[in-house]
Amino acid sequence: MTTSLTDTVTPTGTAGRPVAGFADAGPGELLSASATGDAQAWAELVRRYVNLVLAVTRRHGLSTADAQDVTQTVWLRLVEHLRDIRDPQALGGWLIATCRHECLRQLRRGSRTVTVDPQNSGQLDMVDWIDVGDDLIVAERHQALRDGLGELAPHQRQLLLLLAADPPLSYAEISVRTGMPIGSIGPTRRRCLDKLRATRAISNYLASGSESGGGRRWTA
Amino acid sequence: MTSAAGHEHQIWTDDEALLRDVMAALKVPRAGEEDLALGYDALDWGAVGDDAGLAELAYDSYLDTDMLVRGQAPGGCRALAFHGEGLRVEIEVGPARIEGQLVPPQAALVSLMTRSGLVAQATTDEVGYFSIAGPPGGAIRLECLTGGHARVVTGWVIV
Repeated sequence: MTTSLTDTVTPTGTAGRPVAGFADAGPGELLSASATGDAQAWAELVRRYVNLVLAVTRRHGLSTADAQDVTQTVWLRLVEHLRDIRDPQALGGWLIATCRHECLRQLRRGSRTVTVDPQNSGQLDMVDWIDVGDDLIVAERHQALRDGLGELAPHQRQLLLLLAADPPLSYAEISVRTGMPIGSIGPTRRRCLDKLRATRAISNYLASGSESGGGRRWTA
Repeated sequence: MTSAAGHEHQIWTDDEALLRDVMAALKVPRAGEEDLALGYDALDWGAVGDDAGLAELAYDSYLDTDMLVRGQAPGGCRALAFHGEGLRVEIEVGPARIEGQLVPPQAALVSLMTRSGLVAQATTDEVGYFSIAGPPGGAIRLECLTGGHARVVTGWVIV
């Protein structure tokens, strides 16, 4: 279990790092740069929202192949609409709605027989809508936290990863793994969490949420 | 009503809660390189080009609730409609052929495209009807070169 710890919790790697030059770019800037064919801006857009799209496909229980077809179609749909997303701050909501439609298409393509009760379909829609709203909030928050961890110095990140391990490690075990005296783990933990709160990723995330029309606002 | 962001800010002021959230963030299965590559490729695939107009997917019988309640149309064809500026492309996707209609009716060369490129072509008759062998399965798009030399491409759709 301890050997797999770094594999499962390391937030870095190419998939985890913001694309150079676009780390601070808002969705509006990424959309307009992508519309001019800027592959770097597009890569950052995909990186930032890919986990959200995957969360929606997972919720629909698609096979891996179907989920891949859906996610690629969602990205193609976004490319088709790069110039006409009216509210860039609501891009997450747009992706969820589009992904949901593509999942339904795929499910119906696969089964060709879907039982729909017209008396209840409206209610079901509503439940699903609230659920995907949760997906959006959680996926964006988790993305911000992982990006924040990626910004920390390696020793700070290592301590937080060990402290966040599941199942939890005792301070004695963490002391052995880090070479840090048990007594200084608590104070260092506090400092590392403060550093995490001060990272660009977390600051940007909190700032974007407070703007009017922010992606999270429509579920509030 | 407290805003979502304000609420999160309060959560993140508490060390224990922040660490719990970090733990949750690390548990979520995350996108791998393969998932990212699917997204990266879309910028090239999805581009319409400055010389063409997009006819976007506007109707799909698979998403038509009335149709689902009544059951599929006889023959099990899937009906799709794409709306562009001045041109609608309406198609029925059968197991062996795609039959379609341009609205308003006009002469055009219609090309069936997949991600590997051109699969088949057909010209429309005098009422704008066309029939193309296929579909090959997977994602397709139609390109219509009209008599007026306007190029209209449909959005991608998986058939």
